[in-house]
Amino acid sequence: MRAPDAIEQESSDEELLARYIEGEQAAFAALYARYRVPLWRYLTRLVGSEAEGEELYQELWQKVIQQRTQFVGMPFKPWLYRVARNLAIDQLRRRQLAPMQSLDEIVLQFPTSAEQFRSDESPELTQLDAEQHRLLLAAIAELPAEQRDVVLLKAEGDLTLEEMGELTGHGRETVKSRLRYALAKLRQVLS
Amino acid sequence: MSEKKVDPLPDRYEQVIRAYRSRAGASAEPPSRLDAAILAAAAKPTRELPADSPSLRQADRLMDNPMLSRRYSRTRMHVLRWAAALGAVVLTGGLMRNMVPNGAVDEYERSVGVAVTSAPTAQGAEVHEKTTALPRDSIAEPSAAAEPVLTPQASATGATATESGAMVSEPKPMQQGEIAAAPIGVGRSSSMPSMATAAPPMPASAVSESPKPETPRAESSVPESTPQADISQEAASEVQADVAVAPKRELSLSQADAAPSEVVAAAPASEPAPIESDAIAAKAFPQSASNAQLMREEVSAAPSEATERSHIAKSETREREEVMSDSAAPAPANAAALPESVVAKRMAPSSAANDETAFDAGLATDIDAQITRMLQLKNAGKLRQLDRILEKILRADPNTELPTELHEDARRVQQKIARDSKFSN
Repeated sequence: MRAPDAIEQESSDEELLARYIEGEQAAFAALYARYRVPLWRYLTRLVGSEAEGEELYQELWQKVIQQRTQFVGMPFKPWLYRVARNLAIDQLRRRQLAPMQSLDEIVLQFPTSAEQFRSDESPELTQLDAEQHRLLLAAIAELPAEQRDVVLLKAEGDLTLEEMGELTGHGRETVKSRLRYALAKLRQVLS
Repeated sequence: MSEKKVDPLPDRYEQVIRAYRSRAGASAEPPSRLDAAILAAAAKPTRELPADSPSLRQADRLMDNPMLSRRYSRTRMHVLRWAAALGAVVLTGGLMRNMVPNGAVDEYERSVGVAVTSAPTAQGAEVHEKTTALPRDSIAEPSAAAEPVLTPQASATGATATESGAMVSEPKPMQQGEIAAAPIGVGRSSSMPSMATAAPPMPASAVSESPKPETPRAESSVPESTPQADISQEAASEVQADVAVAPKRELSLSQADAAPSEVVAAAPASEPAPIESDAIAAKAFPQSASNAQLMREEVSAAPSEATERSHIAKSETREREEVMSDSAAPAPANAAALPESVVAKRMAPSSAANDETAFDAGLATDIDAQITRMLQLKNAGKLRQLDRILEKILRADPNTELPTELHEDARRVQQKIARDSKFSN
């Protein structure tokens, strides 16, 4: 997507939301552009399925649109990730009633492929990166869900430990501990 | 952006985050059709639906159908209801399988009276649209609010205008950079938006967190099997005229059946102002202007503050945490193959001893635990025991959501319940 205009880049999420509530469609477009990729990755990688992530992604934005007036005065980003996380957890809960997928199946569904990778690099480097990319995503898929959750909240949402703690209902130190464990595992993969 | 605090993560961990961000796949982003659908929905956050129509009533009936409601999520069902209200179903490519799996589309077509077809657009976008409808006299209960009948007319803008005035947009594949500049809502403002494919803008009451709509739904006597035929332009124009002259009624979706002639919701002051693109679309598609005007009357969609608070509170329940913990455990290939010890942990403490006693005593009221137990019984071949539990559950609530593996057993038990009922009568 094209980078939002300079004015929109300077505006806070809350300002954009307020402008959208007043009827300014461009404000929503800027807000959407700001979060579309991180939220997409967060959802698809948290639930481990692009098809399910797509459904959740739509449901998430539908909620944003419908409940837009409910969040005036609240920090937008934590709320957005809270709703996304709730949707993902509900989906995981539903999935437990269905036949469970093996880890291999989940990894296979991950939205990643060598073809998707950056094309402006040399073939060797791209291949190397693609391999690391695959390993990294596989490692994330193998993380315990609560660790995968905080890693994605950090990596995609760039939430602070406090925000993650508030969102997950755990203390800051608990979140930090989970994050460290998870990152230590991923670091091993990268090294 | 929100003000950010700095987290004191060691540099070696920050490196991992940076590596993830740089290698996470720049192209891992939502499909452009989703972007288009969401932006279109944002342009028209609420819609006025026909207050009543045969297809709407039939869609409501379908939502109460336990077989279908097991297949569709509530959101999906509301999408279908929405589509039925407008007399059309629009599906985007990848979603079609998820939305209407296992032949359920046939049932939907037959019952609601709209056909679902797939028709790739010229741009190759996976837009599936449906535009045929049943002959009006094939529906047993004609309604005052005419059901829009859609027949596609290609337009120069890529949108598909219909005889009834509704338009079915065909979003072009959107390239990077197009979203912010896209003329939001243009070509969609008077129509069922492409968001309707997966998650159309619904009155919030229709997509509330409550498991079932509050109002009872009227039964419809739509024939089970009805022929489908294209409606002539004349007939469609007639329908359009009906829609145009019909008194406007502001109704929230789930209230439509309960109070068809009352104004039950009013747009709040904070609703977005009328979208400029409406005028553009109306100008471009004059035949849809009347419907556009109708659509432009927005209903209140904002849920109460309490609803959202409730949602947030729910999100932090222990149940969710348990789900996260459970999903962290190594996943066996099949739930039915869960070891006894694992299953026992998931169940209420008493359920391992005697399912029926526990059920009767109300100790194993958690449906998830019961389902886990039933899967285990099925796996062990203890069908009589399984049937007894199923029977109690289904007698208590025939619409209980059950996993696919238990559908066959549920059908068997439902037949038994029906037989019992017949004999007792």
